[in-house]
Amino acid sequence: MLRIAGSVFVIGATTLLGIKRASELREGCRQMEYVRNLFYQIQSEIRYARSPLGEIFTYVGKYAGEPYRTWLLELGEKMEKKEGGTFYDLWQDGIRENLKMSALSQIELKRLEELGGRLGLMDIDMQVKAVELYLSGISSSIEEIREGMRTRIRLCHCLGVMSGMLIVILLL
Amino acid sequence: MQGERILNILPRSIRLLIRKEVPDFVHLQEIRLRTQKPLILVYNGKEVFVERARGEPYIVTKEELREMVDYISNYSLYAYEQEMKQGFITVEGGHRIGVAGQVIIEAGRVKNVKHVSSVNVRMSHEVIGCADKVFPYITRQKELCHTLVISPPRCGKTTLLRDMIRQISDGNRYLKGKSVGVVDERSEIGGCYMGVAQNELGIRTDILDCCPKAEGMIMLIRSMGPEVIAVDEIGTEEDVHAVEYAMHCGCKMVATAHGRSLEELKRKPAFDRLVKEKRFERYILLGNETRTGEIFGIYDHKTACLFHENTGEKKIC
Repeated sequence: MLRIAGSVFVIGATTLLGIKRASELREGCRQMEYVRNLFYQIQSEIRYARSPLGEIFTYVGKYAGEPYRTWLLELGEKMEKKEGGTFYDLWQDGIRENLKMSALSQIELKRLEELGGRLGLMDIDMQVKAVELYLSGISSSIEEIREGMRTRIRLCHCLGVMSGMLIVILLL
Repeated sequence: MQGERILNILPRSIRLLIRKEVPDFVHLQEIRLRTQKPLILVYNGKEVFVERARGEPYIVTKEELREMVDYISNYSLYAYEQEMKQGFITVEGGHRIGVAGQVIIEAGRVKNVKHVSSVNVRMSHEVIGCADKVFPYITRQKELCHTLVISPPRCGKTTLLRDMIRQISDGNRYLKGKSVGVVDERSEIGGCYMGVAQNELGIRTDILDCCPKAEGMIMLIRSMGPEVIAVDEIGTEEDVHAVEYAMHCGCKMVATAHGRSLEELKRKPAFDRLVKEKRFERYILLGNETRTGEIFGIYDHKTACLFHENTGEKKIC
């Protein structure tokens, strides 16, 4: 009786782990879509309002969800204070401090960091194109993830159950 | 407050030095930074070399200038492309930051400035009450006359214009408060921050910030119905046409222009006609021989003298 109960617990636990991993995959994709929307907003602020970056981050940050709200508002505040460092330094520090624990993958965080090196420069067309390039990169990543998402989620669920069963078999 | 604003755009290493060197920012006129050259202040009309140690001038580095360009452009040079074309950016508080370096040319015209090697911070000073002296001469039966302030650079014409706007808008003993439309092409009159004037411009003033003068005057007439329109540094044919248009619309004009004398103004093609046709009813001539903002003379539409600093001639129409 005890063995059966133990086996049920083990299989239940690994199944839950599989479900959790699947929901992380879904959340990662959802977060990428959210970041893409934020940058659509930032791009239109650059293109039409021609506002400085600090002003844009403060404006967009006010209506953004966490952790992007803190990231953008803090970045805007640091730019306003003008306490040293290049824009790229402030941008990288902000990402490392505030977005490390977000659902974005390391590849996406790296892509975001690289964007900072192309912002704040002389030409408005160049700025718009830099954000466009980032948006097209993140969009194709989202598409790729979406295409394989259903299979991956099923795989996570199956692996969760199967790994539980394997452990039970090995232990019995 | 004004001091803190200006310190905020200087490189961090220089902020402390200026704080020590400048007892009050009221008399600070300019801060000049040039790559690998001494840091110079113009304080109370005199050049002051900032010292690193006793007898050793502070030398400005390339990195410090790069840092400063980041600060004055709010890390967003693209947002100041138009201003950079003209060679200066106006920062919060209306201070003008002139830049020089390598010019980028596109289709034969200046597109931008890169590798900035010189920066000149020209302080904007708000002197409340500096226009008190001119109001008896520029008003007639409680009505404002079309007025043109003429002076060379650094003689305080924007400061005078700013106080004139404030008094016209709030009203004083010479005239009732009027709605004033200000076209502030270089953000020097209002020193706007996010569209809101940081300098005192009165309770009935509407301001169009960063807007080309000629276009702005017409926009204001259509949208805000001002009784008085104020603009700084008119000079082109287009500006003069817009001034005439505003006058025909029944608005009173208060404007400034560069020049040392009325004769010099008449030699400029665009202004020659304005003077001949007696468009402006009053001309105020400024200088800085004894002090900045000194009123040399006030003249009427026939260029007859109403007030002169030296002769003390005082005749109110």
